[in-house]
Amino acid sequence: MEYADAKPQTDPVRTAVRKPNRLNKHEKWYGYLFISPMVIGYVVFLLIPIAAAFSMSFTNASLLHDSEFIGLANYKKAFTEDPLFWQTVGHTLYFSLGLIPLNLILALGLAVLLNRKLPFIGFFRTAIFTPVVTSIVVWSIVWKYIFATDNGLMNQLLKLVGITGPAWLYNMELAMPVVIVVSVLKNVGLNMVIFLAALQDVPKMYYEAATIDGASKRRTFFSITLPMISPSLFLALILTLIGSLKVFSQIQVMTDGGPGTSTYVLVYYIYQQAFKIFEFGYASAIAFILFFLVLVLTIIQWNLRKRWVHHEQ
Amino acid sequence: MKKRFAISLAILLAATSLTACGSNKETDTGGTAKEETGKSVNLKFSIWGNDTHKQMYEDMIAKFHESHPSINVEIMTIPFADYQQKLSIMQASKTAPDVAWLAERMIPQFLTAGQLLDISEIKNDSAYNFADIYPSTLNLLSKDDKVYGIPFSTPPAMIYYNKTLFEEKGLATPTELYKEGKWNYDEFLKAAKALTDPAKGIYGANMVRNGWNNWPDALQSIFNAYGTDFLSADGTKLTLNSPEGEQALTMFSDMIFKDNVHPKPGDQTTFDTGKIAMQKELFSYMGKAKAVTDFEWDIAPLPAGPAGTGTTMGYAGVVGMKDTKHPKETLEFINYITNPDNMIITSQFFVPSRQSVLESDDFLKQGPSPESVKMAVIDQMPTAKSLPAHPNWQQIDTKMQSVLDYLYTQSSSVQDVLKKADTEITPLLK
Amino acid sequence: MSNKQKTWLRNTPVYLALVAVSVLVLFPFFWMVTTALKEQTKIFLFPPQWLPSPVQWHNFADVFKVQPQFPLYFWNSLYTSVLVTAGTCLFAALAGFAFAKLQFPMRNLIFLVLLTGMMIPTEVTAIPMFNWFTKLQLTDTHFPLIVPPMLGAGGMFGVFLLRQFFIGVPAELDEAAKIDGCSPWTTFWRIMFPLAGPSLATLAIFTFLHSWDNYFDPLIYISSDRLFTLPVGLKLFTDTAGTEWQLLMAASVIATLPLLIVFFFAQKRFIEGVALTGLK
Repeated sequence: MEYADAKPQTDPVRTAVRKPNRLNKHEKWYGYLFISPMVIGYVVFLLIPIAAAFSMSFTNASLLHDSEFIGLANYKKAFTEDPLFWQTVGHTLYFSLGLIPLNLILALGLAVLLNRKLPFIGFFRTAIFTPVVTSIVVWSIVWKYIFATDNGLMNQLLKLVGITGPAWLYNMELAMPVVIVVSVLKNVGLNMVIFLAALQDVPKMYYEAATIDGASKRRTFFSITLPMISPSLFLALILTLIGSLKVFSQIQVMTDGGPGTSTYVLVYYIYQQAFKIFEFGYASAIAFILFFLVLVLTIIQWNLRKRWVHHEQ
Repeated sequence: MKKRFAISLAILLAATSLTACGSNKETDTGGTAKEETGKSVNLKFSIWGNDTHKQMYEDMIAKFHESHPSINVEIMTIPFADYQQKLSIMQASKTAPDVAWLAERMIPQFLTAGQLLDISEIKNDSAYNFADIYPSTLNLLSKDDKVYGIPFSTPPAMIYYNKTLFEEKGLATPTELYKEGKWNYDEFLKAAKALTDPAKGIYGANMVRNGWNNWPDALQSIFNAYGTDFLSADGTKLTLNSPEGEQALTMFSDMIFKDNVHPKPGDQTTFDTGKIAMQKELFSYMGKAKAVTDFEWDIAPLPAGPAGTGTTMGYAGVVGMKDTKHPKETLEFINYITNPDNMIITSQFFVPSRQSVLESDDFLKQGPSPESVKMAVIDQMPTAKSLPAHPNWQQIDTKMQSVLDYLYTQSSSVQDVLKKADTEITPLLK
Repeated sequence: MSNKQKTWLRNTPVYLALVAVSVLVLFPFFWMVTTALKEQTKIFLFPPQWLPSPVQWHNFADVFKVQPQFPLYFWNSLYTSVLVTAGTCLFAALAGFAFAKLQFPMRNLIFLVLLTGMMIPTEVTAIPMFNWFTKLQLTDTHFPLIVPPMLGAGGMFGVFLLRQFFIGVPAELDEAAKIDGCSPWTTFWRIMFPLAGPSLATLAIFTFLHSWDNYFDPLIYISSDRLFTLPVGLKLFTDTAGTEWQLLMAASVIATLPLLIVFFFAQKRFIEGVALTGLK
């Protein structure tokens, strides 16, 4: 292409001041035209729905009957009259607090291990990343059958060493931990890759200086490595946190919210309320509470970024 | 350049907008055609059946088309577990099928909401012989002397048993015990214990069919056999939380966790694998059972409990949805698939609601032997009760499923489970 | 001991750890494939049979016998994902180019507003959208599976990504084009769009995977069997497969193979793309 080789024919500074000509007038319209699909999409599929959901949360809107304004009744119901709501919040937090440390520490550990020039190191990176690109439904189904009570692989392996395995997914205490582990294994590769890139980005001179100063490996890690990769750490933390608050597919496939209601998480509850019993009003209220939670966390992240993250380039 | 882009954009937009036509293409054409003869009408018919059922209906539709060349019927399969939910959505979005199967638990919701087509004029067709249909089977689908659907499957629940396993162990079969008047839950458990073989992965009994979430099919007959019911007759009280209910549920729970003769929760082992000695199933399982070649099997009535056999009746009717754009053709189709001749055909899977068919020799031949069909099906019809139903069934069902999980995970005693059911479900019954 | 041997010895724990995690993570695939190739009765053998014998290739064909709609599920997933990917790439590139290279009033403000769209969870917007699609009779069609993902949160992400790329393209390029009399359209279509190859590839892969894997939307919108996509079809299969795990696993293998194939060919680009987004 000729243009790619074109030499600049004008002074870059002066071109910052646009010379008015025919093309510039039309540029404005082209600009609006080009962004129009996305802007329309934003308005139609994001802005209006969120506003509609907000207003719906103040009604008892339903598929099966007409809606009427009921003020804060839905929110009141969630916070004071519906024990299942708080249980659901609890389960969601349990999932998040179980997943995040497991995921981040494992991802960081793996990234550190992978951050060296050894033969076949690329293979491991790809291998651990593979579940990330696998369908969550397939991943959940396979693990569901691995954890099946009778004849599931897990219990068969336990039987080999003489232990009778529990009914993993039919046990109210074990079901959620199983889902957590399955989720960690699926996504740890993603954070691992992010951390690896960050690790590789740390300028060697810092490590050289540390070696000269006689710093121990541990000291180096905590005083140099961690601060240097803290932007990525923080990003991974916030992304994983927000993602974990919105967990749904693996719950629906592996446990369907059960046994009992022990794996009811927020999005599952929204799904059940909105699309199984069609109570749109109440479901919208819960959805908004979730949205609010995510929003607050994002804002906190934005502010903490300035304080905790070292070296924002 | 610009042209190529314009073309590809056009294709993209066209492809996307075509997707919007999705499944509505068929019903839309009928909208404007209305009553003009010669213009073809497309009906949608929803079922939850398996592929053998679908094939049977396809053949029937082909013949229907011969005598009604302007009517096309398309079958839509929706999984049973989601059927009521999906049909509700379709009804609300005015994309419901014209003709639909409905199970007993689904009927009250749509009937009380006035969403079913009044097909009372079917009575006027003498060739249809409406009087042939057992009046008791029409109760669920009738309101204020009007008929809103035709039952086509009213199977009493029964036991399919693996005759080969019984003979190997030299045990008296359920049929023999029934003839001696000794077929009760005590004998049932005795046989189950004798036949359970963990080494071979064989369970003596399985009451669960169509998934562990389908508790009515698994438990209702046990409730009845012990003299209790899930709901009171008027549907306002949960009657399960009683000594009889406790007895019934305890027996079931013990089968799984104490006697270990029943598959564990979540286990989906089916009868045709030969790993279940006695399976509670409906007549519609006949198609799958007949395909079995590895062992011999037979059918027998359910065992009796302290209060009797408590046979439950599955129930499915075919209805027209009120919002159909082709009420006349819908009625004709319903008429056709439930008329005397075609009910003989459907009776290969579905116990007919027509006296003429049920009491015919043809029907007796639909099972393993005329004798067993008479014993397990015909003789049980008079006392068979249909499964619980309530306009608010979807919520009740969901709650009951999670309550029963406390039993299946052994987190609560039977008593506590029943108390929980009482507290959670009673508010939904008003 | 030679230096090389010392290196190996020192790194053995590293390899051991990596192997352990890799086994944990790859084992499900192994189990899925071997179960798919086993005879039904051999699945439940104890002690477990690690490698299938005899190998039952026909299990894959049996999936289609038991679920005659399965190829349809595959096709539905495929064409909806392709449409979403193509549309997202095109419209995101258009918008990204405009935000990066064209001047118009409130340009940056509009961009920031669009960016907030990425934060809005689909679970919230799904409820009113479901309501409207129901009234518009667009439920039980593929429309809600294609257009909202294209122009919704996923689209916003694409805009962000592509704008980021175009900002990095030297201003001289489009200046030169302008001088030569190209309209913004021509500049975009003939120069910028082709240049954005790497960024587009990353976006395409992300978008395709996300659409292929989309479970929530088909779950709530689709009722007709023949419109199901793979995730929903597979989940359905778990309810009807009973103890025929070999069929279920075979179906899962078929469902996941395309993703894996695309991944193996594009892995370098993909992993780099992920890493780069992380660094920004």
